[in-house]
Amino acid sequence: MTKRQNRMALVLLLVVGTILAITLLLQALGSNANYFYSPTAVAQGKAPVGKNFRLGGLVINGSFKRKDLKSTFDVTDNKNKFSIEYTGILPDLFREGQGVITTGSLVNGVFVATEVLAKHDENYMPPEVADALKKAKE
Amino acid sequence: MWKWIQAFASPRNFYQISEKIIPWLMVPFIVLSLIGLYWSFVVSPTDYQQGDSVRIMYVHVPAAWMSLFIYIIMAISSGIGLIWQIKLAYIVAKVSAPIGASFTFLALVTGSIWGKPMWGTWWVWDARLTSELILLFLYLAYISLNNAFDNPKTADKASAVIVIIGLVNIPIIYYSVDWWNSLHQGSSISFTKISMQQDMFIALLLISFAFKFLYSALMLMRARNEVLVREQNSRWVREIITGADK
Amino acid sequence: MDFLLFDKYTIYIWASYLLTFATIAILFVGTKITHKRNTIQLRIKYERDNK
Repeated sequence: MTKRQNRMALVLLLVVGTILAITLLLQALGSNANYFYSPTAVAQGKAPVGKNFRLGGLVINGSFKRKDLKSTFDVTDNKNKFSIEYTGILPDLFREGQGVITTGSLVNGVFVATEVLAKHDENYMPPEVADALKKAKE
Repeated sequence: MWKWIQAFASPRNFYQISEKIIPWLMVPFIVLSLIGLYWSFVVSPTDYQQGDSVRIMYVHVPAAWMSLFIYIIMAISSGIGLIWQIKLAYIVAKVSAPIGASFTFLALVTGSIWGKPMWGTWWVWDARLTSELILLFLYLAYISLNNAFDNPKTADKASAVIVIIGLVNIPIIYYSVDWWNSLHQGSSISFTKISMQQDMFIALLLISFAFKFLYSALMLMRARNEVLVREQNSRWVREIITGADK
Repeated sequence: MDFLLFDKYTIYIWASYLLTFATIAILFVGTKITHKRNTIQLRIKYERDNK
């Protein structure tokens, strides 16, 4: 091998080696890099019940009720659902049918949240198009 | 072709040719920016969920793309530098770093400004945001490592290794929203689908191409500065500098 | 100039665009200043060498 080929091999080895090492590391970390637990994960006992954790899912249509600053709503991943209680201001993007991530803990089966963040999806469109799509569905 | 590349890669030719190229990058940058601004403020519609705040996307997403793009350019030119010992390749990597860091900073801050009204928070430690922050640290690590050595040759090599190791962060940033639950939403634009209204996409593309031209122009300008300093003992630099005021 | 006002999001949108503009301007001016400084320093160095 020439000197240049040697260097090339070294660089290649460096890149492949680190990518491999970090991929393995990440696999080992597994779900710990997840920002929140889905209702199903909580139902399966994967979430640290008794401590604070984050629960994320879609707000069920028709479940949102509000009295002053206190609001209640149900969150689902289409398999399991949890009722959420939250006192405070909701973000602009909070809507029924949209994703939310709540932080709090389970108290007698109800998730009492101290923070509610709204998640938005990857679809962007003007209101007219959204209306038309909604009509076409009905 | 190879001969041509080698000829261009000689510092002297690079210095002279790049001077002629820069205006041809600045003009498209300015034109595309103006059309892009018009498209993002006037032509593109409001979003059905986010209203007008969606307009932040037209700087946020192109800046985020640039942060990845410039890093990949740096890694490739560092690799070329290590393998073929081309001085100019190291210079490209070195002068790109502050530009890349700036775009990463912009992506993070505009994202934060967008996140506050929409998500309800300036910052969360989810996989996408955290990995993009790590990218900023990688840029800063590269810059500080490069400045740590007095000998430019050692600096080039050491920082090239850092940038190549950090390359692993790039797919992590890109796929973070698919691999893990995150607050940040998934990609709207991928190789197979575009989940975005047409005028929104056009605004995004216009600014994105404007940024590419801006980067190319800035990179060449900075590379010329660097070439002057590194080649200061050669006769052609002396001629250019001392002849410049005649 | 109605189209420049985006009700409650105006400040967020303008903050983003102005920050972007400022960053680009700083990069650009910084590059120009470096070029000028390098040229002056090299010229001084060459003049000293000639003496």
